[in-house]
Amino acid sequence: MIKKFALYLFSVLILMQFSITGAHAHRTQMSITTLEYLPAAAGMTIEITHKIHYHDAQEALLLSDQGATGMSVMELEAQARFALYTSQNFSLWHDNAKTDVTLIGAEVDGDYIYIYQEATLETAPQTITVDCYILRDVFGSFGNHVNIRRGRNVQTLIFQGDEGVKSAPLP
Amino acid sequence: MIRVKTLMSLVAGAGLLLSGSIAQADESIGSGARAFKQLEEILPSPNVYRDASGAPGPNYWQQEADYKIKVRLDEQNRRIIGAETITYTNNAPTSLRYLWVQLDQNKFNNGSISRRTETASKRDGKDSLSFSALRREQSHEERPYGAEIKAVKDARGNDLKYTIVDTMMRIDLPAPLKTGGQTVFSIDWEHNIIQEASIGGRGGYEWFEENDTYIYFLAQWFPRMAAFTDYTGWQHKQFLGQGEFTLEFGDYDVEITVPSDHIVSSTGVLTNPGAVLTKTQRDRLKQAEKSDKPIYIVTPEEALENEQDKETDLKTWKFSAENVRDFAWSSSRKYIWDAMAHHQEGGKYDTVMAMSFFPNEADPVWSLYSTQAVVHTMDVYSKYSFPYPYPVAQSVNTWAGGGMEYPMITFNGYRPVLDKETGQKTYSRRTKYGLIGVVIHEIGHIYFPMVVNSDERRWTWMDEGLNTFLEYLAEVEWEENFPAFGNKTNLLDSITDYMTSANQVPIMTQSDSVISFGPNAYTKPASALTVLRETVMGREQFDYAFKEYARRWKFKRPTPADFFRTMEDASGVDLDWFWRAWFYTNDHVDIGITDVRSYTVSTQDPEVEFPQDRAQKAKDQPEPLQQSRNREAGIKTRLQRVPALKDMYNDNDEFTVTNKDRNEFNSFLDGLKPWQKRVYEKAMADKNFIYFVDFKNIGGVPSPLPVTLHFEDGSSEDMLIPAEIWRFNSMNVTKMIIRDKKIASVELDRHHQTADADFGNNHFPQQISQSRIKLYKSDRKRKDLMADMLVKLKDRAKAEAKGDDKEVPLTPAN
Repeated sequence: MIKKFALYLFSVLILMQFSITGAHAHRTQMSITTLEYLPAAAGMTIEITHKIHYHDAQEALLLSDQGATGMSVMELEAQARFALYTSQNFSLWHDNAKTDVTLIGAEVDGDYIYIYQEATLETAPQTITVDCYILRDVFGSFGNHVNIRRGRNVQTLIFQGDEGVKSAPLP
Repeated sequence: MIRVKTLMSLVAGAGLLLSGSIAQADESIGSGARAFKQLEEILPSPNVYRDASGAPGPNYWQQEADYKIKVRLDEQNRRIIGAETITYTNNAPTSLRYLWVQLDQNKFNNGSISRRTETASKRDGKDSLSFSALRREQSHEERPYGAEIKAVKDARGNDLKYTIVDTMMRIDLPAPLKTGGQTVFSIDWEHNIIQEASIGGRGGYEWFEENDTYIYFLAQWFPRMAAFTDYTGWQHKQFLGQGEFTLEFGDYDVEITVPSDHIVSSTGVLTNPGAVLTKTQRDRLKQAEKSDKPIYIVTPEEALENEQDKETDLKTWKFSAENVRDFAWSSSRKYIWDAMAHHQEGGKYDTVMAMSFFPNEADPVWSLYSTQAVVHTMDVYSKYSFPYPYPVAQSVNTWAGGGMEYPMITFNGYRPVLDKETGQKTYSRRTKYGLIGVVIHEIGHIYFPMVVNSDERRWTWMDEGLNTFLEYLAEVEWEENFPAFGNKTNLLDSITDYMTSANQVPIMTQSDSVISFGPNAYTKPASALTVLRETVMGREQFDYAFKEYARRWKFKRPTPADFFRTMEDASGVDLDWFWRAWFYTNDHVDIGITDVRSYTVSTQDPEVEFPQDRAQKAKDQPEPLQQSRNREAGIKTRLQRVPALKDMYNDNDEFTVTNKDRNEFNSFLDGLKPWQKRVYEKAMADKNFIYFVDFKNIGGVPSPLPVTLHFEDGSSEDMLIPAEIWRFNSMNVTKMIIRDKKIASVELDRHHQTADADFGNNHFPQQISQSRIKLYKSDRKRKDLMADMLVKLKDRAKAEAKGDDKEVPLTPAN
């Protein structure tokens, strides 16, 4: 018997109309996300920082068909749009329970746009599950590199192509 | 503030050093020896082809492949029809019974390893399919891709037996091709051109939907002789997409037949300008040969007019290229064409034509910067390697983003955008610098690996890493604070997120297995070379050695060992420890200052020392609160209440000088040998401060220690401690520093020149550091502005989303 699965086409709020699947000899496109697990008065705080090269964010905005075309990443609205887009393409679970993540803001510093999020946990979890799809819907060759830090220990999850959620023990 | 103590004596000081070392040796014994062990068994043994100095050996050889190609672009069907004759020269010291040819277009065949190993996607635990993935699948369904081999024949027209293995084709020779022998054979083939935006690749066509026009860019497009080398035999690692290629050098004569209104840009020199260019265009080209700024050969207006018609007549453009390892071209009726001269000394060509080809969609930014960036690249790269070795260098706008390199020709992205409200074309600051950056990078690749012919399919870093390093040099020389890593972003700071992460593979990993391709093969090796140049070796030694590597391996095939050995051999600097740590491990740089202890040399004179010791003890051990608060509360001690309990110990403490102490001091002075007495007296006169600074290697990579001493008088001093300080113990070291004034604090790597991943431990006394998020949150005004904007956008999105399905379910097949 063939089990039937529902197959969905995903649409995202801002950036989904076009796609680039280039293979380039120039800088490889990727985002770096850092999750910093810090002890808090009650439980833990997670500081989440997404770092994306300005060129990639700008290119994605150019491809946007949702009113952001022509915007520079230097503009506040463009940064806010990008922050919203990022928050919609990044999800967390701890011990299989979805974690609420709060969007703090975004800024451009040097060659990068930084998007900040935060979350709190009541207790230290055993495992973390991540779904990171930032700009992989826009650029076929884009990759997402997620570093999970706790003190000096680091776990890394790497997302490429059409890869979905990945899990790791909390370091 | 750093606390000052006195050393009990010079002898005692030495004892302190020794005991410290012994205590630390338990966990780190042999660590320095391991870190600084030579790479003897890791590097291949030197031989007659590659010697121990990193130079080509006395019997170095490489093959040669010369091509005559006739190709027609069938625009109607987006198809290539080609015929080639290859003259292959066997310079290897062995006979060849068969030849391997690369068919990179077969990567796009549905039966290829690349296609069959694509993986599916899950999101939120559910199967998912992105629009881009679906479009790719649809494109593959619409028509077949891959090389269609029509004939393989020898020079007499006899069929040769061939076998296709994925992206490779073996041709069986009727008789072995002996050393020094030549064989001539021909291949006829055809293939459908991919739409690059749909399928993804290094060549293809771009369709401009607005006016139904096209740009064609043909890369890795013809059957090409695989490399046969002394280090791996035939290079038959299949083309999976990530590992690029290495080929043989040879001469090319290529005839390209395209619609008559097309402009062709190609590897090589145009040999029939009279047949394909107008007199005006030829005159402009001559003018450009003497011009120090770009001259239009085809103006924007002419290109715009040209793309209105779609000629079906054909013209044949003929190109000739000498000593190149590949051949690529581009063709379109949309092209603007500009050119200017690059003048150089000491090379084969005194004048090189720098040229750019781009559609109106790419202007004005391309007219302003592309060709100038081509010239600038040659200026800078030639300084660090060798004069540009070909007669032309071209930048062609073939896609919106990215870049790709071939001999004498590069395909580069970046275009301005059309503002929907004003209808005007605008380009951002980042588009401008992105274009300049990509042109520098791709033109730079004509040096590495198109001339210094490293093997991209095995070691991506050898061209991408070296080239990214040189690209940054060129960008800094374009203008200060060039935003490649300028403003606040330092190249060495940008690599630390990657280098501290888990799941890394070392730089020395085969190209198709590299994880996190960009930071691994581009940024990390570029960072390594930057650290070498600016910190470990110094510019003079680095530049000399790097230039020697380029000179030695120009038009030859270097391997990593040849690079490592040459950099050491020409500079006189042992770098095995550096290669080991940066290229063969996943360690990172993180050195911390864990303690600083300060001393002065003790006089041993109890009359001087004891009062100081008493004061120091009072500082070290403040009065307990229990005692001071008792006093404040008026509580009398028993001793105060019963004076009879008082004796000599109540009047003298442990620091009271006794005759015994005085006698011991006199004995100390009498016991000194004459040379010791001179040392003692000088130390007393100098009154220097002696510091013991502890460093801990947390990241694993031994690193030079750029230390800054901040003195109490407000002055500072930079000093560079070479990495060899770690050669005995690569985990912990203590450095003694003697200065005539007091140090207030010690700082490590203040110029961010070592790729240190954690600056939180680079100060003593430690400084409080805040995370990016905390700093961001502390800027209330900026945070509030962003919060307001987020609310506004969320509200707008909610309104737009009403009644609009965000997920489109597909009906499962029965």
